[in-house]
Amino acid sequence: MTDFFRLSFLLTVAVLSGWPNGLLHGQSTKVYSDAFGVQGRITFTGELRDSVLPEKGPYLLEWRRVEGDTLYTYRISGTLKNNLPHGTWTREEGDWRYALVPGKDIRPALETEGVHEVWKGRFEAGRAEGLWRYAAGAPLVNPERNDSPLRIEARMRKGVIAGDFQVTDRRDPAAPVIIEGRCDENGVAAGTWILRYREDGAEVTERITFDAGIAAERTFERGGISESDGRTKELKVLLNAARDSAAAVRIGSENFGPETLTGKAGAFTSRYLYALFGAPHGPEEFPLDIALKPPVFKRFEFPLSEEEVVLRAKTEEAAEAVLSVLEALFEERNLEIERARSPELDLAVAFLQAVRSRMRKVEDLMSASRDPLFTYIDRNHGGAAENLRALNRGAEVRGKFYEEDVRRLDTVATASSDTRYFRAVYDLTKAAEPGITRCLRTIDGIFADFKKEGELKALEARITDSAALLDSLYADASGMAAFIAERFIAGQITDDLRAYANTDGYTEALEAGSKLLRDMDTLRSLYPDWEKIDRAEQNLEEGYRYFAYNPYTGERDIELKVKVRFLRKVKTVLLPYLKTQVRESGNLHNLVESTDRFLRTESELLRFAFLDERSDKRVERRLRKEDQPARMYRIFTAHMKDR
Amino acid sequence: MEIPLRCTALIALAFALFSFPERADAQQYTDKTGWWLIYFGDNKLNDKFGLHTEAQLRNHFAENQVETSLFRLGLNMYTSKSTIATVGYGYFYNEPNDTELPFAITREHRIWQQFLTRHKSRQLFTEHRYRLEQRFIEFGDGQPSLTDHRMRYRFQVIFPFYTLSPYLRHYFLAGYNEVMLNLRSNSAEIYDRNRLYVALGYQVSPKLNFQLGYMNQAARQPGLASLEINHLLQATVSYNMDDLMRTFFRPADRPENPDR
Repeated sequence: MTDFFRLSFLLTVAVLSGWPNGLLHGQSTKVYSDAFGVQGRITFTGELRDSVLPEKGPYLLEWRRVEGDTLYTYRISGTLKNNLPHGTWTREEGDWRYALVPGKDIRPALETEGVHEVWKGRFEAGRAEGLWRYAAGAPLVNPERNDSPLRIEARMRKGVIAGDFQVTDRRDPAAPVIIEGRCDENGVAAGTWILRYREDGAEVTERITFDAGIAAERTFERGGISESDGRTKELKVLLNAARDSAAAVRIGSENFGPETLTGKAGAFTSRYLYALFGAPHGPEEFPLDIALKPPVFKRFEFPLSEEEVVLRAKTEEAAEAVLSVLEALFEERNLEIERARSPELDLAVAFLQAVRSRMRKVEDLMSASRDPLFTYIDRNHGGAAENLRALNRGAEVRGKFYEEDVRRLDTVATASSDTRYFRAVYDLTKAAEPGITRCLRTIDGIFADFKKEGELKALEARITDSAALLDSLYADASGMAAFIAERFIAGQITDDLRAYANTDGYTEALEAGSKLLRDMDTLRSLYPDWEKIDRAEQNLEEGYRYFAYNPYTGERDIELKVKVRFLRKVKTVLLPYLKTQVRESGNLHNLVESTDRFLRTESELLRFAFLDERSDKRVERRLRKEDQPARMYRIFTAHMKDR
Repeated sequence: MEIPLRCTALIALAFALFSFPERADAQQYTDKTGWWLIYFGDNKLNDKFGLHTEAQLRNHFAENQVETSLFRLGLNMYTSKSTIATVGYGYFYNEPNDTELPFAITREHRIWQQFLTRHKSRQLFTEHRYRLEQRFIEFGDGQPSLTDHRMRYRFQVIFPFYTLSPYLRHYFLAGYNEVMLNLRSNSAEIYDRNRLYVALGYQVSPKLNFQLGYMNQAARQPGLASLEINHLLQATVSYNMDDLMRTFFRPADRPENPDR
């Protein structure tokens, strides 16, 4: 026989022989099976559905579950009304471990051991009412009898313990535990609880007197010596204060579990009333979660004062303002990339990063304070102090690249007993602002220097390029261009370059460099004009010839031999005069003006050739006779202005 | 013979207004596009005579058009400084480049007589051209040959820009309108076509100029109830191996020179 078949056989025997059946007549029974045979069955009246109990009538669930070498068995029986338990119910659970051992003859013997748990009581509309009994022991227990190793009795009302309860645990005869207590109608611990147990070999009687769900007074009696809990006085003061509506403390409305009680009382409450009596667990096939709600406890609540709410709002506002500035700063500027260029910048960035981290923490703390449970903590002590200590961490700031520099952020003295949480955080948040302002100013200054440095470098590069271009342009210059190269490039531009190189201030350098660039650009743009000036006489004569040509007749409209005297005058008097003006230009501004004047006059001289009104002829005759170049220029320009 | 500028402009305006008699009859018009490439030449042999040469290629390679090759030769008689009488011969070859077109290949021998008068002012150069044509048309589709007579009148204006600026002296604006009337007894067949033309020209020298312009031709086509409207791009080169332009322009445009 394989293990599988052996186990299957045993389970089938357990289910079929262990549970009475056939007692419930006129009902339906649904049988469930698994790989080991019959897993369980439900006997019911009416319709059986997965998520809800049948509507009414008797109900019986028998089940078993296998986990490893443990067999769990369940039996739940009672009556139903309106799909809810109503009337007397019994709930049983068993945890069985089993082993096959050699028997007295050829057959093996089956050894089992385990615990049998029974809850028995009455339901009304699905909620526990009246006396409920719980018993646990091996192999089988009966809650109606007093000989069970573990017994718990409790008066229930609407599903909660609302009256006396008693726990008797004699499973270890050398260290029995007996608890007697009471809860009010809401299930809140009340009256005086008496706990008897042994500790360190001594018998202890602990009495806890509850006031409004708070363990207000605790006494311990060991070997005839009674002692009181050290906090009793403080608790009394708090309880008295809590009854004053104007006080900063009150009895909270939240319910808390056994962890509220310290010491053995908390452990026993958790173990007997929460883990055993209050939490029957069963197979998933029983669709109702029936809870026998154990006692609950109250705590002092320290609600936020109006001042604290205001402080919190101001703290959040201040932190958000700082964060928005810092986030924008880190996003807009390449601080991480640039910080290595300057120790001051490095330290400022490290400082601002620390402030940003702190402000994020402040925001988290302020956000956490909106949790309803936050007010159950005495926020001037305990966790609050730890929060403040966390804020102080990282107060010492060092640069990432220049670590020798250290800067400290403001801290809060958390050891001070009168430190108020929100005030401390607010003060710390506000204290960061001057440091941020200083850092921002430092960063602005450093970046401005970087920018200036970059601008000047770019300017110098442009000047160098422009100078090279100018040199190559005028390298083989002749005529007027050669004169300009010597007079302005070798002279003025070189002097200006020297002056620029010796400039100290940023503004002066920027101005000098910009002017230098402009001047070089001007000389470059003027270059084609020098050839025009050199060839002015020739150009004028060719222009006269070209423009005089009439394509319709093939002849010149202007007879050059008529104009020859005028042209000669222009070439010998007016143009040399204008050329001299160009050569004697003291600065670039004058050079541009005189060049422009020369070229404009040359163009006007061409246009003049085609003007044939009487006034034009008269002016031409005057110009032919004029020997004063300045006067000649004035007469000509005045005349052409009107034409 | 010179006429005032305002008088010339008035003639041109009136001619343009009355040169489309059929359009007032709400006939249907069809539009076509094409291009003409033209060469003109007037070559003086002596003071009295000269040769007129002309070649035109019309609508070659244009879509859905009748391609025309045209050659003219004439004898110019210089009757005065500003008038020329010409008699000549012309040969025309027309071939539709699309079989869908309702035209057959035609060949035409043409004898023509022409009288041309030129006038100029300081700003404008105007020209009146009167022409008579005797047309001998052979149809390629076997239809009997046709003899036809036509008279044409063209009024042309040239506006040289050299009076505006010496820099624009080579450029001119040219425009003309020409109406052609058949000499027939049936009044419905008298109108043949009208050409309105405007162009920008470049005068290289007295002998050579180029023109690029637009011509709008409204022609009555045999067998078609409506006029055919042609929008034509026209490129013209004129090469005159004589001193026609030179002698024509010289006297008036030469400025009076007080120093002479």
